[in-house]
Amino acid sequence: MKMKNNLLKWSFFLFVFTFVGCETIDLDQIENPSQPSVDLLDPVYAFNYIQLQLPDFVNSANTFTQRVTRQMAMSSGNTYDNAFAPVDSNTNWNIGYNLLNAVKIMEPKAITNREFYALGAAKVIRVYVLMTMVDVYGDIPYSEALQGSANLNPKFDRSADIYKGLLLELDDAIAVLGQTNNSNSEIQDLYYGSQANWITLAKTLKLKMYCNARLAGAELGVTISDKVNEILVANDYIDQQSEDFQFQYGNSRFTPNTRHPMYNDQYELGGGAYIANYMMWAMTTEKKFDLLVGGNGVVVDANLTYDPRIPFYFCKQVGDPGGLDSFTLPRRARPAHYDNEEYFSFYFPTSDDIRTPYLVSNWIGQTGITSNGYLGRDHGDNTGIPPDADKRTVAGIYPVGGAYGLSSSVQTGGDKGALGAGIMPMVLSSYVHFMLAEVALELPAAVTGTSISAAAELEAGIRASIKKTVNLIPDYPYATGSAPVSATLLSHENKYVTFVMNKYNSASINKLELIIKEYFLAAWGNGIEPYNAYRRTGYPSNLQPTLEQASGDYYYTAYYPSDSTVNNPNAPANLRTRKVFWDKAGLILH
Amino acid sequence: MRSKFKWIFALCLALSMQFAFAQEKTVTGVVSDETGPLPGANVILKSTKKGTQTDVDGKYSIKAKAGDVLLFSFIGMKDASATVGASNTVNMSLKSGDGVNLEEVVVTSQGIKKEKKALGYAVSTIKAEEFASKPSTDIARALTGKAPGVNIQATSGLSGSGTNIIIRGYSSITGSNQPLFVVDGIPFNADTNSDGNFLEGSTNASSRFLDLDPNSIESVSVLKGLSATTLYGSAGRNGVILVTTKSGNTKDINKKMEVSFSQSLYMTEIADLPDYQNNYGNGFDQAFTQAFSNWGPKFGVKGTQGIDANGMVDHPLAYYGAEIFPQFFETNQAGNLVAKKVLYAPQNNVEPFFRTGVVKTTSLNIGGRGENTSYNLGVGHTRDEGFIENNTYQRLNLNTGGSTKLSNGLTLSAIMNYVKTDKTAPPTAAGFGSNALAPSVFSNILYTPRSLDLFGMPYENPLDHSSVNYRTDIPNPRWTLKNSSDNESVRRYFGNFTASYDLNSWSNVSYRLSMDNYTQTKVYYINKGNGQPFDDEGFMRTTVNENLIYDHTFSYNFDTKIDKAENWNIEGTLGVNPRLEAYRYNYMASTVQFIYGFLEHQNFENNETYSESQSFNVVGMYASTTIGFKKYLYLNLQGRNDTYSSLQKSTRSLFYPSASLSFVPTDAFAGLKGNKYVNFLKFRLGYGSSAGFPDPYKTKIGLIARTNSFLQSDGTVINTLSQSNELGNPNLKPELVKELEFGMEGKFFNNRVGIDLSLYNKISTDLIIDRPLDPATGYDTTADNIAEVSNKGIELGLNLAVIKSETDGLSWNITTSFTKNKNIVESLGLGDVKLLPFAGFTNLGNFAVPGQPYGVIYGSSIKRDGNGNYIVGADGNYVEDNELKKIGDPNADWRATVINEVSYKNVTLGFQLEYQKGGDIYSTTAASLLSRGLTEDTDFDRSGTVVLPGVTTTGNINTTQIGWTQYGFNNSGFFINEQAIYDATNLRLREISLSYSLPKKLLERTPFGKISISFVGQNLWYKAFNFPKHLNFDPEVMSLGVGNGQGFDYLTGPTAKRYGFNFNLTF
Repeated sequence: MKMKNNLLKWSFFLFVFTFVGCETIDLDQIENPSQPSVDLLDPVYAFNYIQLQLPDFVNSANTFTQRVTRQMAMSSGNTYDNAFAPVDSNTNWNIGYNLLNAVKIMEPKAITNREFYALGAAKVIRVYVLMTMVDVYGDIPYSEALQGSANLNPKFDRSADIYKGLLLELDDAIAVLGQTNNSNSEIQDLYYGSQANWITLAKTLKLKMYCNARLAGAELGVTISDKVNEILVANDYIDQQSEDFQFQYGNSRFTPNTRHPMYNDQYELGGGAYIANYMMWAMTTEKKFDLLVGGNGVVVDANLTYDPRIPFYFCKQVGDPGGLDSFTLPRRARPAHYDNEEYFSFYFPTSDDIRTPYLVSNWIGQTGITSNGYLGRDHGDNTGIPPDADKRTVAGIYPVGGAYGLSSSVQTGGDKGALGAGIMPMVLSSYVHFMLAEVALELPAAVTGTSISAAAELEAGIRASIKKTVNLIPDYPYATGSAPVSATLLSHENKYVTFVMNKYNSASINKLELIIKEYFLAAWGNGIEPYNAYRRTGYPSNLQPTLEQASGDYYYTAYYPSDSTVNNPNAPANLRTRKVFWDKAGLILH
Repeated sequence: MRSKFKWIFALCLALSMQFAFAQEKTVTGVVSDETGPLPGANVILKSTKKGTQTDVDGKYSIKAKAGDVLLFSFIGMKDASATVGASNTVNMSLKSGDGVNLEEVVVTSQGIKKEKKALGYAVSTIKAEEFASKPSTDIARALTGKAPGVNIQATSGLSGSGTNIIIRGYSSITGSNQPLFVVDGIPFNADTNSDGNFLEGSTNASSRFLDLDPNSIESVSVLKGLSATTLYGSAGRNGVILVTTKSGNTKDINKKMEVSFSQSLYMTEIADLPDYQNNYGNGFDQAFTQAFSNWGPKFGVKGTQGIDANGMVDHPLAYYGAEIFPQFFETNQAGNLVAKKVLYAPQNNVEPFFRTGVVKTTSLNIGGRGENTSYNLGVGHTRDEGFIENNTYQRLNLNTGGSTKLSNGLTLSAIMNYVKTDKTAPPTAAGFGSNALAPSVFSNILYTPRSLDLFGMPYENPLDHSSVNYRTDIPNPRWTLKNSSDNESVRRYFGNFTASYDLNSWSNVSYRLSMDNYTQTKVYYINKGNGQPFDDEGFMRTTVNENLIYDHTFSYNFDTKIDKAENWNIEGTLGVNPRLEAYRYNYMASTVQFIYGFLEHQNFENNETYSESQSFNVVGMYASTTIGFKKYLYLNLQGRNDTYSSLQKSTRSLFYPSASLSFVPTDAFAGLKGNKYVNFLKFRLGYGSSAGFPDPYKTKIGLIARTNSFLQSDGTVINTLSQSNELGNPNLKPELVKELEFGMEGKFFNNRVGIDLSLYNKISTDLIIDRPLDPATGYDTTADNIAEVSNKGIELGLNLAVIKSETDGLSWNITTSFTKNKNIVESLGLGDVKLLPFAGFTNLGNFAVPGQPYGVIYGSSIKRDGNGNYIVGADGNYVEDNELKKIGDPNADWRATVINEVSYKNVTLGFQLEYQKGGDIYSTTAASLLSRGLTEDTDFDRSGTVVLPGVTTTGNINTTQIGWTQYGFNNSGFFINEQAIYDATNLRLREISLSYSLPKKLLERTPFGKISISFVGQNLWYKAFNFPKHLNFDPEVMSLGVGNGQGFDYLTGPTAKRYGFNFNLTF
């Protein structure tokens, strides 16, 4: 009995130890078995991440900038007070700094491995992101940013200081890109094919910063015209299409979805975001082109003066929105201030017919819509959404990879047009031409010793924009009867250029405004450039006002994101009247 | 670590060395009281202090010599002694102690049973009658209102939906605040495993305590305070719900064999629907349009405002064309095909959407005993149909348990449970009164336009089965109900194996292995054709979650008198408790359905997969001792040290003590003994502490690898590697929660009045929050020990025997409980940062704000001027203030329950009333019904204009007139969050029951021990006083799901009422 007792006792303890001894008392389980360890970071794949975050960053900056510049309709509020909230800036800020952190984290290993291609390109992208953030927000965390737990409350540096820092960073990036890359490391460059292209971009970014800070050389401690002149004389900047800084989207709908975000929004179901009536009006009605436009927006008569970009920019879902029922077009009366002269056509300012649009792009005269307008939304129209998902005008081939020449619904699950294989334009050669036209006009010293002139750059910009637009996708599908003929396109391009240059050369026109206006039109798909231009110059001055006349202060900078203001005590107060250092013209914007 | 184990083993072995084996005879006998044999009575040999306990039949057996004195004792009985003579049999009859009530024995932590009066903390015990055979098939919901300090709230009235349990307030900001479930000593995973967030309908997910069959449960003890839960370690810091099943409670079976059977049948219905107005139909600004809203013309209008001269409008589906719906077209006199017309008139178009569900529960339990062996077998089946089609919850419970005591002092017992549950429910994504971002069955039904004959028209396109509705941008809710589902099935095994060995009469060692292992498979799908972005192509997602808990407890337990006079008693336990918790998660999502209605992943064009696993260990060592003096003064000391495997070495271990004192004046002072007015009085004081560990892997964060991030046009795949947005925090340490509790229990006036009062003050320090960072730091979030939260509260239980009957005459008992808890965020530790959103949206959600109640609701508000006047904009509507302001406090001021029980002979009538005072809720149901002009609340004369009270932006009195449409549409919460906030004060009839049990006399000659039948209704009536009257809205919903969010209703499912009967039989 006693022996049996002992046997039982010991087998009992043994039993306990067998179970307890193994898995349940391992006390060192720090690393997540479902995540790769940080030692596995590979600069090539980190660079891939950076490259793919960039278009998302620009897209999130666009959601704000395109709406305050009337590329897209601002429908989230009827005044500037309620149109945006700090929370709306979160995505842009998050993606931006996340991308910057990825650049920082890849750097040590990239240096060790001598992977200068990826590192240099990543550094250029870093500068583009930071300069964009400065342009949009003004002062932002820079010198104390990205330090993780070492500094959870980074201070906000002055925007001018950041510009200065970025100019130096570009020199650094150019130096890195000048080194020979480790021959055993092969990167996947989604933008260019060589280190030299990235150097050209880096130099162009310098040019862009100086042009943007045209009035604020003192804050940067430089003479802008000298600095611009240096770059122009060296003649290594983006001045042809092959050098364009853009992201090329794909046409895969699922796993992964590689399409242009606006295509995702507008070509699936639900209609997507509205295009601003002003944008479509400025392309068509403002220059009296709308009278030519047929139900599908395509003009085939080569003898007419016409902007060939129109059907590439916009795709109608219905030929004539004028006939829509009263619910689609709200019944409230056209606001009186929409008839103010300051919003009349820039090209035909005395014509009583070309007033700012209302409800659709082509409000003409005092009585209202004629046929064949484009259905968008007015600035600050926050009324309920009518069932017009298959009636709104959507973005066309350029730059989203959409459809061409349709007049039927594209709410068909992503099977229309170029399937979303568009581009995210960032720094295009056309943009650079417009920038140079502006500095040539305003700071003639900047172009001394070069053959650059304002008029020539303006024309080059328009032509580059048209060529880029109509040739973006060589074999896009088109509807019957809207087949594009290259001779017609060229004829339209020439006639359009003639139209604009005649205006430019006429005595009565404001030349700078005309340059900015053309820049505005060419920038379709990128809200950052027109947002900068508007604050720098106040042009276009006839942007459609908010439906509610008392709009409140314009967004001279975007709201800081709530993710920053709530969590970082160093974040400044959110004021829409806060300005970037280069915003020196003292303009009252609307 | 291992060396510590050895040390404890050595100690236990040393203590067990004193075995004595003398030449003695075996004395046997039966200990009984007035009612019969007394199981569990102590029999002790006075000379050696060795002893035993009586078995289930009151029998004992002990080795003794002639002349030895045996001491017999039992809680609540007078001690007695007897001398062993020549006979080998000594029977003893014990008598009730003078003036001492039979003291309640309660189950406390680690399954230790204690006299209630020895406890220095509050324990609420709920007996089987309170939750068995009730309409609610969810054990937690059945406990609603039964225990003060415990707030139980269903996420919605859908069958199988999740249930939130909060004991004594929220003590963690971003960590879990749900209590630990312990079932028969098995730490039981009670997680709510949802896929996705509240926007996608996570409220639908079941909480895994749903796997317990209320009918198989013997009793539930709720350990509320930390001084009660210390021994459970960090897992018990939010309170412990101790469940003893019939299989686990082997001691209670006195009879040879008992079979009990119960059958119940209940009906479920939606608690209430709004009172819809019947005067205005679809439209806006008094014109008929296919708007979502009901601001259209008055019914009966003809020839104007978009209505034809004969009062008709186009058929709502005519716009699909004659090819799809030829039946809605006719040829007119001119020979053209034109749309048919329908009358513009109110319709009964919401009520038919709901049904009456049937809830059936059958349970059978067999228990009995053999020589030194007891056993129990149970089987339960529940089929719970919800108030809406495609909502059914089914559960099969099989359980068995047994215990045997060997003659060598070894007791072996085991319990095994198998649970199979299957749930189907429609998807319930959050709705905002227009359309939801994901499939949602409730988001679109309640605001169906009054004039739409939803049930008189098809809901699908006959050609391709896609959804058809009066406008294309809103899926037909009937289609959603038929074509989408969010299903859940669980296969669960849990059980324990326990062995204990009596070292001597006053100590034993025991080992328990508990295991809880389940696999939860969720299948979520929507067939192609709902007309919404992406979902239109069909979607299917399968997730498998395998969860495992291994828990070992090795303990040494003792209970002995210290001094000769036996004034001092000491009992205690020393234990080692390693626990492993692990899960494995597999995910597969597929898009673009090929054949409509065929639901297998191979029928979808694209598949995405994901998997992860997690595992952590907590090794606890604990000690507890209670020193009792003369049975009226008890000191309890406890301590536990937990070591957690997923923190850095320097911070992974934490020791936390607790102590409590219990004093019973009615036993201490002779003057109070036998007092008629003060029958029983006890004061208690407790201090407790506990640890809280972070989720695993928070100190070191790995990389994120993504394959197929992008596909270049030439087909090149782009993969990426990136840092996480979360910053690892190597200095992270456990949270420390401390609580001071004072209590008083008393019985007065011949036991007619009973009071149980607890006051507590609980402070959570070093609270870990997922601290959001300015992304400029490079990271979005990091776990950090920075916050502090306090809970101060009162729990008062009051029992009143209004009418008492010695026989089975009329009796009336009232049980009242009152709970008030003040849950304050003391500090966020974020420097100047004063706002931390932790649930809901970051611009409309629950926030932690220092000095403010936990989870205050912040959102947009109406802009005020310096004098607090509302500012009206130029358009005549209020100006929205986008700067986040506090717009509500979801915490109730207090809660009270009154349970009445009136019985006469064999009939018992019970009803439970519950009242919640205060607590705000943001209600999308209210916002959408009012904004869209649907209920009688908006049935005002809509002609003319109205001026909103307030001042203009320049400070003048507002005079801008707006139409009633604007008034209703713009000012009911769609635009300004503040306008959708309501005070949720409510009164409800939680339960009413009438039961009848057959008189014993009638049963005497039958094999039956008990036959009873009850009629029960739950939630049959409620009133939320501060909501517009005709909404009939029940604020007892939680659209943010189980977790820390509260006070939000996003149309994720209304509440239910249930009624029916149950039938119980034992033989």
